[in-house]
Amino acid sequence: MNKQQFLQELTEGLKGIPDVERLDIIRDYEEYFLVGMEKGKTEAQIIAGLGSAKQIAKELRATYHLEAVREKPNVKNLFRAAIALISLTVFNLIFVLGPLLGLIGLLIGCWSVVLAMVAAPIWTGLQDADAVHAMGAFPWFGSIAICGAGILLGVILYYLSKWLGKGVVWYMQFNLSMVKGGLKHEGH
Amino acid sequence: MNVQFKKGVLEMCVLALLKHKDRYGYELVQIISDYMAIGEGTVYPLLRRLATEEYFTSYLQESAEGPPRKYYKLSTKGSAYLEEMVAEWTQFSHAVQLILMEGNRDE
Repeated sequence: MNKQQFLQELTEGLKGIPDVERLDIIRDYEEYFLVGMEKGKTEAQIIAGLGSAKQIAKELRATYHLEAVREKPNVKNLFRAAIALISLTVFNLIFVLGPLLGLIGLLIGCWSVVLAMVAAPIWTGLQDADAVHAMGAFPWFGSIAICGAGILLGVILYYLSKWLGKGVVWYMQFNLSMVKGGLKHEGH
Repeated sequence: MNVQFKKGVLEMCVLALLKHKDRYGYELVQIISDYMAIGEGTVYPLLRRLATEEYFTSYLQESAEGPPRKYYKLSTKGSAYLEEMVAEWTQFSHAVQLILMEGNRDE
């Protein structure tokens, strides 16, 4: 393998990272090669010292996605960060994927309940009109009450979801630094 | 030497090398690998991570002998973090030393 192949492999491994950042990374490694050769090393020696381009790319991707999800914690970034982390090592499969899926399942379940509650008046409206009318105002008041409770719970669930999302980000960062050895300092 | 442990200490080493002098990537890798066996490829990802934490800034400088080099410069935040880590490390290695002496004594 020569320098061009190494950088090519690195570039390919960095797909998913914005061009600006990727080009900056390649520039850094390009500089590393040039300075090394200036000092008398061969391309082969430098490559041997650097190790696997694929592995380096995985680590860089994980770092990038984790930072992205910290800045903008939406579901897409969360998933990208999780996948990048998982690809780093099998260790993370158990500790990241498992809890993440469990949490998402739980959230989906809760949101389903909330949505069903908010839709209560619709169910009442869909019932047989005569049967509903015979019970007087009760079904309507009942379903409006459930709807109101659903909205209230929805608001609570919304904040809970946000808070849990932040928790997951923290958890993944913790995982990443465990894998890389050495705890990160939360100086923010 | 255990890989995980090494990587944690590596952060501190990189920051320590930047304390009195700005350095470029290759230089950092060389100095560290003079003293310990590391995968040279791990240093740049580490540098990027430390940079996103704003522990240092970087700038390009023209070089007479070759390509422009990116120099890394410790920030105030990085300096504070370094101090913290050195204090922890000193405490830790001192404790290890004492335990080792204790272990020797029981023989």
